[in-house]
Parts: sequence; C-alpha cells; structure tokens
Amino acid sequence: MSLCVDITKTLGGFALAMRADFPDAPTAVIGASGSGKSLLLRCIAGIETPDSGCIALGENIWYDGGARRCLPPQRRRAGYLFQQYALFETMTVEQNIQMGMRGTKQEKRRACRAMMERFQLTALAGLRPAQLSGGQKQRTALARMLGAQPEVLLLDEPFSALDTHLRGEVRRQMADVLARHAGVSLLVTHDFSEAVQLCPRAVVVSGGRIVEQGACMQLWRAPRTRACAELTGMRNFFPLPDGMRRAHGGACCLGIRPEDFRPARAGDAVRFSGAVERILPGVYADQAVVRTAQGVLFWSVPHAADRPPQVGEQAVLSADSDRLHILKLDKT
Amino acid sequence: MDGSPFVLTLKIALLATAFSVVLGIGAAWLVLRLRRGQGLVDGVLTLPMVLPPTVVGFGLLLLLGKNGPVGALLSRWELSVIFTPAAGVIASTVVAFPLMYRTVRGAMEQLDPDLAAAGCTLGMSEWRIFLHITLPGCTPGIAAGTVLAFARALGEFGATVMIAGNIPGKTQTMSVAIYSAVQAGKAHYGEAAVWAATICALSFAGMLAVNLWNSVYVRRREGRTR
Repeated sequence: MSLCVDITKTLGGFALAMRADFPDAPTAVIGASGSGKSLLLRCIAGIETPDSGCIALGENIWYDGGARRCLPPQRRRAGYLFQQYALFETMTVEQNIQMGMRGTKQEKRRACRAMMERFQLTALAGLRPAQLSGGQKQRTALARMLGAQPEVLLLDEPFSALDTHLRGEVRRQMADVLARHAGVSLLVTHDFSEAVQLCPRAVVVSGGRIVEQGACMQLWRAPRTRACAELTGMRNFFPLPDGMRRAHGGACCLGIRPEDFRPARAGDAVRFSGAVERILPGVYADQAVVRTAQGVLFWSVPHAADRPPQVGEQAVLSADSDRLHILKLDKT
Repeated sequence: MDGSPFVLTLKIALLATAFSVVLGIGAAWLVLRLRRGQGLVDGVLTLPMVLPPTVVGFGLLLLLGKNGPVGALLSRWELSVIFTPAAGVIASTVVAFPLMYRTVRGAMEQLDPDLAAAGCTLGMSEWRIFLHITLPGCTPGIAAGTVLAFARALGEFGATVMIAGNIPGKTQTMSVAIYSAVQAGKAHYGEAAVWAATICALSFAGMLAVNLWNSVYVRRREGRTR
C-alpha cells in the first residue's frame, strides 16, 4: 500500500506544494532546515491540515480538500517520532509506552513488557523522562510509537537531539525498526549519510517543494538540482562555462565535489587555476582552499596524496568529465 | 463574640474555590480551542477581575434580583438567592473565577503543543489527552490559581455585601463583619482585629501550603527521591 500525497499549504508566508508517492519501503525526506520537510510530515500525520489536495494510504483517504474530508490523527494510524521526543513528563517510561496501546489492562501490560524488552527499557520502567539520557528517551519514544501499532512511520529528525557518539548505536536500532516495519516509513533528515544508511530511496525537498527523488546512491552519483547536490555534500558551484551543453531548460550551474578535483591534464576542457590560500586539516583528507578567477573552491586532498599542495602554490585543477555535474538551480 | 462569620466564610470560600477551579479549567480549555473571537471571550471572562466589586455586585443584583432574568426564573419555583449564603457563594465565585481562568490558561499556553500532538497520533481521544496530558501538565498552574482564587474568595467584600447583605448569623462573612465592627465604633475594634488576623492567617497558610506542595511536586516529577 503506498502513501499518496499531493498537497498545498501556506503557513506564515511559507508555501508548501508537494506531490509524491511513497512506496512500502523506508524513504528519506532530505532537506535543509526550513525547507518544509517537517511540515510535510505534520500534514501527513494530521497535526496540521493542508489548504488543499489529498492524502491517501492505499484506498483509504486521509484527507481530501475537495470533499472537505479530513480524518483526525487518531484514525490515521500514523506513528510520529518527534524531534524532541515529546514524552509525557508526568508519566513513567512504562506509562508513556502504554498510552498508545489498546486492549485490556493485562494485554497492555504484556505488550508493554515485550516492547520494553525489545528496547532495553525494562530496568527503567519506573523512571520519568527527566531521569533518562538522550538515548533512553529516544528508545522510550520509539517504543511508545510502535506500541500504538502504526501503519505508517513518520520519523522527524530522529538523531538531531543526540550526541555524536550515541548516534551510531541509535542508527542500528533505527535500521532494525525500519526493517521490521511492513508499511510506509518516512525519515526526515538533513544528513545524507543518515539517509543512505537507513533508506534505499529519498526525496529531496527545497523551498516547500520536492525537487528530486530516487535511489539514494543515484541522487549522490548524479544529482540534477543544486539543492540535491548541496545536501549530498557538494561544495563547489560555478557558473556554467561557455560551450557546456545545457541539459535542462532554465538556469543551470556547474557542480563539482571536493573529492573529485585532481590536477588538470592535457585535454581537460574545464580548468580552474588559482593560488592555494589555506589548508584545512581533516581526519581522512585535508581541504585545500583555492582562490580562482571563478571563485573560491574546496579541494579535498587525501592524506595519501603523492604531492600535497602547499599554501601559496599555484594549482590548476580539473575533474573527469563524468564528475562534472550540470545542476538546475531550483530557485525559479 | 459570635463565631459564625468564620464558619460561613470558610464554607463560602471553599465552595467558591471549588466552582472556580472547575469553571476556570473548563473555560481556559474551551477558549484556547476557539478558532475566532478568542480575544472577545477572554475579555468578558476576565472583566470581573478588573471591575470594582460593587459594579460586579450591582450587575449580579440586576441579574439575580426578583425582576432580573435569572431571578424571575428562580421565583417560578419560589426560590430566591438574594440575601442568602448562596448569593455569597455566587459573588465570590464570579470574582475569584478570572484568577483561576487566567492562571490556568497561561499554564496551558506554556505546554509544548507537541505533547497533545503526540497524544493524537497515539490514538488518544481529546478527553484522554485533556485528562492525562493537559491537566497533569498544568498542575502547578492549577495549584497557583486555586490559592489565588481561594484568597480572593476569602476576602470578597464588595459584591458580597451587595447581593448577600450583612445579616449577622446568616450572611455575615468575616470581611463584612470587619466593616460592621468598625462602623460600630472604637469599642468593637478588637472584634475587627480578630477577623482581620484570621483572614491574614488563612490566606498566608494557603500560600505556604501550595508553595510547599509545589516544591515536593517538582521534585517528584523530576524523579528525585530526596
């Protein structure tokens, strides 16, 4: 059953217009902050009501602006993981998890115990959210969400509130949750590496619109828009040089990843030359900052490089032709 | 000295506080859910707090008096509330209610809206969200509002004297008794002082009790045992 979304919504000067079909698999919703990705999730969950359009899970219509039909969140069965978890502070971990469960007291207690076992919360059952660490809070929120047996999972930046060292462990847990969930799941993030790890597909959101969608690796290998390129780690953008074909209509630019630069060779049509202004050390590779006539560029130099550039040196750089990306500027 | 004003005042204040708590919480919840006209309704509900009590008393007199709309309705069953202890409860409730409403409304507005949203997506009904999330979430606000309302009801004078009157042994509350005692001359100042001290002590005890409760509550909520 796929989740079909085609909605518009304006909220305080921000206009959202999105149209997408989410299949029965984890999909990442990638976008910069303020791009409207959380609002999309809130509209799907029913926390916000769109201005027009429709939302449907398979045959089941959740929202239809034309027919003025709007199912309340309670009847959508969409589990929502909030960025700051939104745990109920006055309740214990156990009570939090039971809040979304249905059935008799005993059934709830049994289901809750299983859920606490699964998320290693058994020892924390009697604690309140204020006593929990970030990772424990997240596990409680996950258990609470899954306790309501949702058909659709909506995960709003699930790792943003965690320390870096916790993220690895929590990602493993999230991968497990996503793998065990049979229906649609959406994971909102601004971190492309998170998307690649957890979701085979992604949609890229910019300025309230979906500008690109497809397999994560495809988006990384061949982004078509500048927004997508930026979100997948591209840092260098230049005006399109004369003579390069314009693959798309409208305004375009040339994008090159820092790691794709190499010293220019004979026959390279596109060249960038300038002085190395600064070297920014990194763990696996250093970043050389080069001031060229076309602007400042970032060149990633692996530590194993034969002849690392020095500050003040002249550098002439280029990239293989399949690493030169012609990108549509989405600001129209 | 007759002790009836003490008992009567306590009864009236407790009843008025109870009504204010229920009505204030309900009103705050309803007003925050209004799509339009929130400012207008809010103004009307807060008015008794800013008006002189005599104006409130006069308004209630017009409403509840024999020829008033409510008074006429009541007189069909041969009922009359004017110059009865019930009028004292009504006067105190009307004056104390806005304090409760305002405080609880502020507490509700401070609540993270994501909490109610989380309740919705978990399938909780509006009523369960109110009972399990909204209400516990603003308990400190409810406690503060209760004390304010109680203290206000305890000392209500203007509206009370206008619709409940000053009938010793029947509708004379402590604050009205203070006024009577002072009117009766210097010889009765002692009596006025006793009532005044009693009101001070009761109000202060209420404040103290809530502050104490609040610190215990916060500690419990944060899960510290000591």
